[in-house]
Amino acid sequence: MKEQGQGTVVDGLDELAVEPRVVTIGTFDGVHRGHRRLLASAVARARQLGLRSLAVTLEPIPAMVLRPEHFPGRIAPVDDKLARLAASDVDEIAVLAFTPEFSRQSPEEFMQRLAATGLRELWIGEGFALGRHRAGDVNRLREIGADLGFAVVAVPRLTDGDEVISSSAIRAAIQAGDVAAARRLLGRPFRLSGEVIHGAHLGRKIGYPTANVVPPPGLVVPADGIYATLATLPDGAGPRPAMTYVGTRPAVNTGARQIETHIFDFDGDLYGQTIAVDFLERLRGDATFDGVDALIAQMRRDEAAARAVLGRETGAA
Amino acid sequence: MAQPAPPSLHGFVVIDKPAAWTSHDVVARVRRLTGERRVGHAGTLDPAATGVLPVAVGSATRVVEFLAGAGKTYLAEITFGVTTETDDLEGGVVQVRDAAALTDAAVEAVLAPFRGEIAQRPPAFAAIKVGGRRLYELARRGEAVAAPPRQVTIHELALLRWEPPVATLLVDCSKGTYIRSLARDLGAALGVGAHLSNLVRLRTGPFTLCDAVTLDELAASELPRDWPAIAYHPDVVVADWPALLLDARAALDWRNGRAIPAAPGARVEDRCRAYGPNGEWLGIGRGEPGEAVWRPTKVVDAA
Repeated sequence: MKEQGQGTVVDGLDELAVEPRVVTIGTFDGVHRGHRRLLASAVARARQLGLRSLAVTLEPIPAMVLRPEHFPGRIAPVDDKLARLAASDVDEIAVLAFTPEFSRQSPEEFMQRLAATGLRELWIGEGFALGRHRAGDVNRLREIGADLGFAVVAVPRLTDGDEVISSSAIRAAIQAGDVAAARRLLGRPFRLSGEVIHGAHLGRKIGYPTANVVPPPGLVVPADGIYATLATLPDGAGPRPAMTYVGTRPAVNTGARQIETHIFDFDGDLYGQTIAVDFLERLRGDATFDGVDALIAQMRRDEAAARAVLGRETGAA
Repeated sequence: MAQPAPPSLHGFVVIDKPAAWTSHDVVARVRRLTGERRVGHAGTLDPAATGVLPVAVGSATRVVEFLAGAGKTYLAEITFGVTTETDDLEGGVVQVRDAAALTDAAVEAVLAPFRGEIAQRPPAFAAIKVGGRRLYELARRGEAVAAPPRQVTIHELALLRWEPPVATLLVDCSKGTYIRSLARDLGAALGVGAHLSNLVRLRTGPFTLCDAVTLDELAASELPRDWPAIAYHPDVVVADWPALLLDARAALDWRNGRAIPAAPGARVEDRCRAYGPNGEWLGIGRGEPGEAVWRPTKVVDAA
């Protein structure tokens, strides 16, 4: 995501002036490559027609409200999503509060509200559906549009080889530890950001001090294991090569999932600062070791493996 | 006292090309705005078209050819019933046919044979050369020259919208595909003729319209300070290639154009990208499995 002209973010639909628009709607979790193609198409179409473009998104993500027990966690926090939508050349972004009441609206009721903003064309992913039991699918929305005076354009899903790019496929890849696949589908590495907290200081004793962050609530967490990562600190320097442990650290055994990052060739105090960790490749699963010497020997091998992965990632522009 | 020379800028800046600008105009503007002599674009976009035009600056010009070969995605508006000299709105109308009877089902049906690998004849007015002359130069002089067909691949061709007689298509295609030719050939297949009435490039390789900046945004930025926030690292276009990580001594050999012995047991592939001990990009090379070495083919100077 590069800095550029920013779209305006508004709360709900009421603040929007009534103007002829091309509108796209979706959950846009992660703003992955498929989302970007849909957004680019809607922006290009608005340009062809000389209309304004609007992206509508729901928060929280409907599955978080409707099926929280089956939701693996989101790919990126809300503010990250809104920043990416704002940078994508869309003129305006409307964030609609997704509540159980909202979910009980019929597709007709919702589309009447959206049509009142000046909707001329609705651009959606071909698998998109609105409302309970996916009642407002592409065909139903086309019927509603015929009544209310807007057209519905379904953009085919983007694939990577044989794989369909979707938020759920990306979440599944992250959960399985396949952060390299997640990166390919997402178009950038999966990122966890958080404030550095005090840990058990075990790492420092064995020559591998770590910055420990609490994973942001609601985000999907990669499978337990060791990862080659890039850590971005608030110091304005570029991303630094690092390796990250995700797991419950049997040796410490506090039960909570730990995310501990050792930044190579760095020895500063990061407590209280916010760092971002980009996951590039999983090196191995979590393991227990017979004694500190075996652990240190393994960490040396992990470091060599991580540096080999990361060497190619850290050239500065 | 003389100002110190500003640091050189390297990387790709993805420009959202405005209508009525040639791709060369955009390159000239980026050259002025960056103060860099080496600037080039990846894949000409016709003057009337808008959207993604990646521009290579500094050492990125050394690898721009790999981006020019990348796949592209377009949103194309094709108007049926009207044929033009140039297959777009630039040239005069040569034929008008009644397209009122055309249906979305008929347009949908005609798309199928254009999907996949096809032989495509470039437009009469095209920048490619035949016999050392540009086609559009010959066409302007009335010397009708049929350019030989070229093999291109259309990965995806979807009718998104039909407002008779105008179709809006999503086209994902290989390098070298002319959307004007696609418009002409779809029109011919339906027997009424057609021309390309609007074109927006949504993607070139890894860069989408969502990543693009306008020339005004580039002009408003403060360089070199804002460069890292605007530009992509040159190696982004060869990111799929195997990476060679060199220590200081090997990096010096590489810079001097000497072959680097492959690590024992390492698989020597046909091409590679190379980095120095501090992660600095050193360019690209080719592997020679017989000799078990990596040979630099393009060495880039440090930023």
